[in-house]
Amino acid sequence: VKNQQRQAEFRAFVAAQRDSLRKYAYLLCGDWYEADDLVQKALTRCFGAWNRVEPGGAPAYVRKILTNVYLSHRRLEWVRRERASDEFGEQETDRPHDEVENRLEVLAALDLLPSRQRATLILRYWEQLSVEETAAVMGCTTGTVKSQSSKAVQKLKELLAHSTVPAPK
Amino acid sequence: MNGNHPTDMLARAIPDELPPDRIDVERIIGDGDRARRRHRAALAGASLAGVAVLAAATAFAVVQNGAPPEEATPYPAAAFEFDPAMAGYPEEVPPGETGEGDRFAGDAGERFGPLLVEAGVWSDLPEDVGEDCGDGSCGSADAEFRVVGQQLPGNYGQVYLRSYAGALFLAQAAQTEPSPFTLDLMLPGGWTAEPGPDAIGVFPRHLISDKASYTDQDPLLASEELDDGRTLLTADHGCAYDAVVVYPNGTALRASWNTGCERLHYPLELAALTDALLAMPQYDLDTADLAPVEELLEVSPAWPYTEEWPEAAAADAAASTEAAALAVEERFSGAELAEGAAEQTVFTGELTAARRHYAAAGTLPVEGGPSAGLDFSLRYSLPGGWVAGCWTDRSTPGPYLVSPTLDDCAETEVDGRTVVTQTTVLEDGHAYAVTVFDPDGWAARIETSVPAGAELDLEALVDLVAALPAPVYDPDAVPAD
Repeated sequence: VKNQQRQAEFRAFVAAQRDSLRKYAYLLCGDWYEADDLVQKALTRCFGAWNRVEPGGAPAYVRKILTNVYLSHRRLEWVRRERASDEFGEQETDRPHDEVENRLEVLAALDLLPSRQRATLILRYWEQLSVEETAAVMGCTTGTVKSQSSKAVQKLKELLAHSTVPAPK
Repeated sequence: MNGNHPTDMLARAIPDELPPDRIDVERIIGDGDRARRRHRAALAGASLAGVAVLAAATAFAVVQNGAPPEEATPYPAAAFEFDPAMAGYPEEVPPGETGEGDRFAGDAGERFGPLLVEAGVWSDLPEDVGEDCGDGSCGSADAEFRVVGQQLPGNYGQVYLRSYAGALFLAQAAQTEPSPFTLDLMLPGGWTAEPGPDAIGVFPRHLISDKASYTDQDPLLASEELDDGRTLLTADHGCAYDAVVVYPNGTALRASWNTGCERLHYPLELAALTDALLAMPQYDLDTADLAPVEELLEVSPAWPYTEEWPEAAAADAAASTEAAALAVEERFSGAELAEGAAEQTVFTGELTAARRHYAAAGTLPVEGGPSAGLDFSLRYSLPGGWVAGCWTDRSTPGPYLVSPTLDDCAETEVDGRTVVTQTTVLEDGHAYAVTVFDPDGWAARIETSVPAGAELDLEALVDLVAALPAPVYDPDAVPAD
């Protein structure tokens, strides 16, 4: 019964978090195939430790795991490049051209950020975490979070200065 | 919010409709449960290992019942609160040569011994691997496999990587040849399995080079993610192979085999090397000192270490110190400075990169000082391989040029140039060291001990070092990114 209850809690958690986790992972890696892979791995590790996760702490915990999995993936980027091409690559074609171009420009700019800067930026401005919360997820000091997010915003501003996408202020 | 806010900009990267997902909740629950059971089994194993008598009794009971531990894995994962690739160890003592290092040498002898025999490196296998390979070395006297604890600098010594490094020590006749076989057990921290340039300035460091290294041919790279959680990477250089297996607990083994790029020939198939490598166990190593690198220091690229450079740079060193002697003489009439010599310093654990200096010794006539003058040393440091300033909160210099002292390492600015002064109180006076960092990238440093009563203070020394001319060197030859 206890195990069933644990599974039910976790299923409810996944149902509530699924889309936001996918979006977070997609912003991190820019690829839906990899994003789902990251979410799958993060949720698996999260469920493995479900009994130890504090009530209410699961959303932050799973994002911390997801961020670490993403950073590890980046270290093994060369491994990933060898995999077969992703199955979502053609889905952009039925979207309005401008919207797709706009999106790809932002993703291309994000791709040019160092992995940790990118993760810091997304945690701060997409996940809306505070500096302290971001530092806890990234395993660094608040000073590092401030400098990393400042550098990331500045870099994006430069990269998007000549594109159709408004540069961040 | 407005359209230019980072949040809105990120929102534009997300489509209105998300594509169908591949997230399989049933599989997550199944895999998560298995991971949890493995974790519990590993914990149980760890606690039993500490109580040998109980462990033996339990193992006996398990065999009696015919029920092996459920879902036990030889490769339990480790969880880090940070990305271990962007982490490292302090510069201290490398891992010891006992304990895991001994076990590693024994395992290597057992798994790779047959290959060494087949290739003709060893005439025969050790009679008793457990006995003969138990002290960090293994094999015959003419080709002994030895394991030593090692540390390797990451980002010019900002952090260190730790490993147990195993290599063959060939007999006298073959000592000029590099070891045809090396096997390193890497502790987690500061490295990546992704192939890339293996250089002191690249962090995290790459365990496998993606460039030609044994010959002028680029290697053929391959990777495989194994079902048991390990990842195997290989680089086939034709006449030599590099192979790395990364374990779920963040450790890695790196093997290199040179079949004959040089004079000696030790034939081997790559598959035989990877088979032996994959037969090695995962090691549970001490990572208590591992800490994340919060901000990588920007270090200018170091010079390649070459034995010839000091001689080649002798004239520049002499010209530099000759010009410096004139500047010293202007402030201290009667001062002397001997002709300087070029010297290079290497980094702990890294012999391929160096910093370059010109050094000379001299005397300063000082009122109240020794009649023969006050001894001092001058050292110019050319740009490359260091950071200006002093790592004040550490006991080691790391990438900084100036070694910190526990009592004093003060940083000031004089005429737009950074100046580091260090003062040590002696029984009968003071020891001073002044380093001036020029915006062009070079530095000059003078050290001296001033006895009580001698009329030379720190301020006068700062003025002297700040007045020294630039050393003679070719700015175009300075290593660049």
